[in-house]
Amino acid sequence: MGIFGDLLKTAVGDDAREPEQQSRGLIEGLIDLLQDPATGGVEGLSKSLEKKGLGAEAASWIGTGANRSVSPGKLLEALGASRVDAIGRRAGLSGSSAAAAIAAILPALIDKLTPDGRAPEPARIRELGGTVLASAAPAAPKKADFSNVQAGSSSTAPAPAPQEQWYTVAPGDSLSKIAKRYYGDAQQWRRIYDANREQVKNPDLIQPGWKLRIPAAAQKRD
Amino acid sequence: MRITFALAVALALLACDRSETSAPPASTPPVSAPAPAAAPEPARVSAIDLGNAIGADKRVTAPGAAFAPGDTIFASIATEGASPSLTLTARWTYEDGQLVSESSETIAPTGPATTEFHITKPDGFPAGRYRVEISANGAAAGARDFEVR
Repeated sequence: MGIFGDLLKTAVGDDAREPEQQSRGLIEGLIDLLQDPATGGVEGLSKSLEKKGLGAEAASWIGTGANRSVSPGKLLEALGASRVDAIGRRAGLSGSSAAAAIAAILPALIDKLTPDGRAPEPARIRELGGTVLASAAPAAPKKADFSNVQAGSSSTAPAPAPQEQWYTVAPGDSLSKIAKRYYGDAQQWRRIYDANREQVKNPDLIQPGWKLRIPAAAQKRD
Repeated sequence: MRITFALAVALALLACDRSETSAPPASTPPVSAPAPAAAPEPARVSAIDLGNAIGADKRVTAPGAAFAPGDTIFASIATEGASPSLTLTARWTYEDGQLVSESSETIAPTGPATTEFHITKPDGFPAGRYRVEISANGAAAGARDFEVR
């Protein structure tokens, strides 16, 4: 598991059902937040946090030293509940879980976006964020492709006996029509004729109401 | 005239009787086998084994639950009892729930029999956990888990 997945798991426990994917969603949400002109990039966010009494924490994330932790409650207050919820939804989290998750992810993300201890230009955040995503939260594994799986079967048991059918001749019927109906091929009328020689003396003359034996179609077996 | 009419009615009734019969009496094949003293046991699945090879008897030569990606994976289904028509279905799934393959074999066992299902993948099966579920005439008859390493 990557660093962000680990952080998420530690922060929200069982709510981190798919930590890699959820942390990826959170990172994407936070990058969108940083790119928002209203936020003003890492520097703008840092100033906003400073106004809410989180200046030392934000400075530690940008600096090259150890990251200071931030309480979910203070971060929720600083970012606002609507922002926290919007970002949390990217990971299927809401309320206190979303705040806890962002409090765990944000310091590490800012740290990764500021490797030289300085806030990057807002225009570079997308590019830097992409690098963070690629290295820290790998994309979902490609779904396995089973389209070329070949299957077969066989048995020591015999196949079921073909089912013989019976058909009652209706007005307008002919052996060809009946053959077409049962075999999909009018030319197979002789099979029906041969199976009913006792009753059908003339294949061109069948009477409504006659019951004709319909031999089973050729049996198929792999 | 009255006699003729009565005869016609009688013939018509006879014709009606015939029309309600599923097969014309004159051509109905005779029942050759006498009824057995006791009804045969209905067919049922008695064993499911997995392996990467089978013998002429359709049984896996070495039962196992771990396979290489390039293996042909066989599920050998032993049945007991008799049935005029028993449809066995093998449903193979991957660990994420994806359907790998599903196929059926309809048999008419008269006693103990073995039916094999197999799957292959030219470019190899992805590593992971798999399951094959066997059903008989639509009813679940057992399942086996296996792994491709």
